[in-house]
Amino acid sequence: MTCEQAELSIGMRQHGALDAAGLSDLEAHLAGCASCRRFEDTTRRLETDMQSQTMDELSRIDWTRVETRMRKLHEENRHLLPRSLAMALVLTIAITWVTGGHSPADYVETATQTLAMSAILMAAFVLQLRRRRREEAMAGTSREGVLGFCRTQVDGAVQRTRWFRFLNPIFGVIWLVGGLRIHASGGTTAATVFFLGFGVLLIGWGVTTHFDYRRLLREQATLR
Amino acid sequence: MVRAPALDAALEEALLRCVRERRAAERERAFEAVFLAMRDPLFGLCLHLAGSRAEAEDAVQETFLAVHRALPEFRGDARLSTWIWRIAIRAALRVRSRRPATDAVDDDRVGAAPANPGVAREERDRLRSALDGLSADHRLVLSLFAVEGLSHKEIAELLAIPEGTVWSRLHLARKQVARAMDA
Repeated sequence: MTCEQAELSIGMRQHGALDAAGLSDLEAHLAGCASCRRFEDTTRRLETDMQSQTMDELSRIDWTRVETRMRKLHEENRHLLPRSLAMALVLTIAITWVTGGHSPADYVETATQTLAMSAILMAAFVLQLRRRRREEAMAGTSREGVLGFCRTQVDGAVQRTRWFRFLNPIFGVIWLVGGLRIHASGGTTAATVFFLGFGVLLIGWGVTTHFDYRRLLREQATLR
Repeated sequence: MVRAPALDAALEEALLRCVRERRAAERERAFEAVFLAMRDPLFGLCLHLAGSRAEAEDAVQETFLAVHRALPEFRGDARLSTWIWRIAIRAALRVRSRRPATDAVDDDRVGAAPANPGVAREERDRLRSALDGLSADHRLVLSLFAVEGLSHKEIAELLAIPEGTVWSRLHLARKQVARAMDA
């Protein structure tokens, strides 16, 4: 019996999957091989150590604190959508009030544009939330295996963010330039604010995507 | 061995009924029961996958938040406990990836500052380093086997991989850790 075969047999013996002939072969090998005896001792200690560490760390956990933190986060998540809607409404009123113009028609135009901007952002936000929920549900039932599923998800996200981290700021700059040109050509304040606001949002989104991309690369490395 | 991996069959059935009925109050009660039944085993797994107590706490927290969010989407394709285990594995690996590359060893990492002085700190540090050196596949199989006490068959079912792959990954993981600890 070679050392490689002995190492395999040691694992099988620990799981009670070694037959009598294999057992006697292993005993004979172990009697004359200090390296394999050390391997057996280390692997046996490994499992005991991992269990004892888990018990130690478990005894130091304050579950009440974890549960409280979890409930707080859950409450925050639950109110995320209504809060975002309320904020969008406040923003619409504020922008309309500040940049509305001189006539009722100006106010209507500003409100429409701001509402359109809010609706686009809210739709993106809701789609993102739904995608995350679907992904979470699928992670638990995917047939390709949990790690395979994670890898596919992360690889896909890396591909997406790789382009969006550049595309978002580019489109952001285009919207900013558009806003400045509207302002220079005497366009309404509402239109200027709409274009400038959207440009800033896209650039901000690009910066966030850049940090996301770096996190995803780390996640990709973790899954290798 | 620390504990059983799956929920009690009666509890699992009751939870599934609550999920299907979609009654908010019942779902909250069911969620509380799931939390109590699974928090310790999930923490054990997350501890060795994520690398530290704080990260394991975060992973357990993320798992239960994700379970709560996705519970209405659960179609019963797998056992509820299997579904939760898989979500936890994903959460733990995600939390681990958030750790900066130049992470210094601190007192919160697995293996540091043992409450039980019976196991030497040096030994634990070596174990932690050895486990850190494993790939996600090997660390996962080893943790499920050594800490959670799952059989090869249960691990194969949970990870959706052949049983032979579980055997070989477990062997390679042990071998790699043993070499690293002996070095």
